[in-house]
Amino acid sequence: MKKDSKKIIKGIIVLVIIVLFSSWGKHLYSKENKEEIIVFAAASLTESMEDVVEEFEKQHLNVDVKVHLASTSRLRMQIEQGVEAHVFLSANEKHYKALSKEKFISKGSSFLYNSMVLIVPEDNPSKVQGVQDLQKACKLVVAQKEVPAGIYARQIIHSLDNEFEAEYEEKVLNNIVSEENNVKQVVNKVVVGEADAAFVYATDITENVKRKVKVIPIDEKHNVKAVYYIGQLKQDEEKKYAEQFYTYLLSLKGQEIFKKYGFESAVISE
Amino acid sequence: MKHKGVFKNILAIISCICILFLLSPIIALFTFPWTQAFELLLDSFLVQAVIISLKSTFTSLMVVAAVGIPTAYYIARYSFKGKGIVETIVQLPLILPPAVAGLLLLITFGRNGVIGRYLSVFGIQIPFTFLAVVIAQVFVTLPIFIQSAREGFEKVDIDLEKSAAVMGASEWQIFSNITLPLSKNALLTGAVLSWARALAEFGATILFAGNLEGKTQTLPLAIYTAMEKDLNLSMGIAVCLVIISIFVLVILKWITKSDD
Repeated sequence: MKKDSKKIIKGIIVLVIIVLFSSWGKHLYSKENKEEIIVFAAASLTESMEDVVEEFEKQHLNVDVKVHLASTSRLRMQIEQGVEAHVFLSANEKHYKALSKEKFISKGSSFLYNSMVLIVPEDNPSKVQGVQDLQKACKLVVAQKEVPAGIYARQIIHSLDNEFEAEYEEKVLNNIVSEENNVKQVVNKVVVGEADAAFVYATDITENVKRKVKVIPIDEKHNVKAVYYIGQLKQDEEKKYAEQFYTYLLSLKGQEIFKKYGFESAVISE
Repeated sequence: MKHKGVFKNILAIISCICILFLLSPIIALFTFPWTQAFELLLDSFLVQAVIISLKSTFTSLMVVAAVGIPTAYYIARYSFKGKGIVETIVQLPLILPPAVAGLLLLITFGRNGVIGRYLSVFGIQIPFTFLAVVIAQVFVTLPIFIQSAREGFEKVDIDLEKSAAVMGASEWQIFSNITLPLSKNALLTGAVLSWARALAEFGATILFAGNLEGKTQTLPLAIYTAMEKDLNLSMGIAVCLVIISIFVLVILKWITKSDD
């Protein structure tokens, strides 16, 4: 009996391997005929890019768009190190301009507008009702200093410093318990209820997130107007479809999709 | 005779490939122009990460040894109900991806966690603290230590223990005077492997403990964080990490050699 069961198990394993390799083979073959576009996109574009890529791929059946999502700073660093990418979507001007100066960008444009909000877990453990409450002891989570979301958050805190008395900025910065690598990690810390409050983009409040957090809007006077930039990266050979994708993102149709997710258009029409 | 030579040469060639493969990233690390980040390295940013790393790894090592040695001995020398399950549980963190471990620790010991919510009542909140860093390290290194310790205990000639028992030694005396000294090398090896794993711990730490300079930012976290700014800086910190690790490995070799 034991010998038989061993044989059966061996047979199953061989079968599984065959199936895996055959579907992998098929996969490889079908991808071989497709043109690949590599897009480096800021983490805050996670949800919207999924839709955009789906629409674009529907219209261009032979194109495979690969999106790498990470903090803008990390993407910039990877591009500087020579990692292959065709389109770059930056969450702020700084990283885009840096790459432009370093001659990585062949052409680019301002792309989208975004703003920030303050979020707290739905049970609001530290009873944060507004930005003024960030002064008292609470666990604040923001993105790292180089990540656009982190830069914007600190900008907002700095701006608020003038509104409140007695070292508001210092007190709030002291409440930071973690500096995350990208804004999605910041959102997560609030969603799981470990952070008392966090600064995230208005567009990060997706359906799933909405259920787990309370959103506290930030006064326009102090809020940031986050300007996203799109850049086409210089290539050795012409990437026709990358150009088309770049154009699509700036087109009315493309911008409509982003608007659905809460972004505003920053495209300067000619 | 001819066959012997060929076989040996093939082994040698494959070994060379293996060693070159393992060596190449280390060589690349030291030839990278990380010295450009030297002034940045002298920043408190690195010093704090080194302190956090050393403090946490030595703390977790002590915890792991204190808990691991008794557990390993119990599994090695005693039979009990459900031993098979216990053995599997002890090895579980080994196959768990660190990020998953971090997530699980969060939903267990987080303030809304299965256990954490009760701790929260007493004002104990673990995430974002140095304690979380230690707990994450203990969780991933316990299996490594227990495995090594257990093998060491099992290798001790059971006849020696039996004779001691016949001569009237208590279980504690047998353990402390015979088993423990004779398994010293295995325990040391386990300790070093655990310590090295704790030093490298990243996924569970960043999810469970967060990332704050001077409080929870260990060297691996510092390297990852530096990647948002400057690759040279990352490399510089990585070099420090490698140097510290080599240092410890050398000390271990020296300790175990001097005993033989």
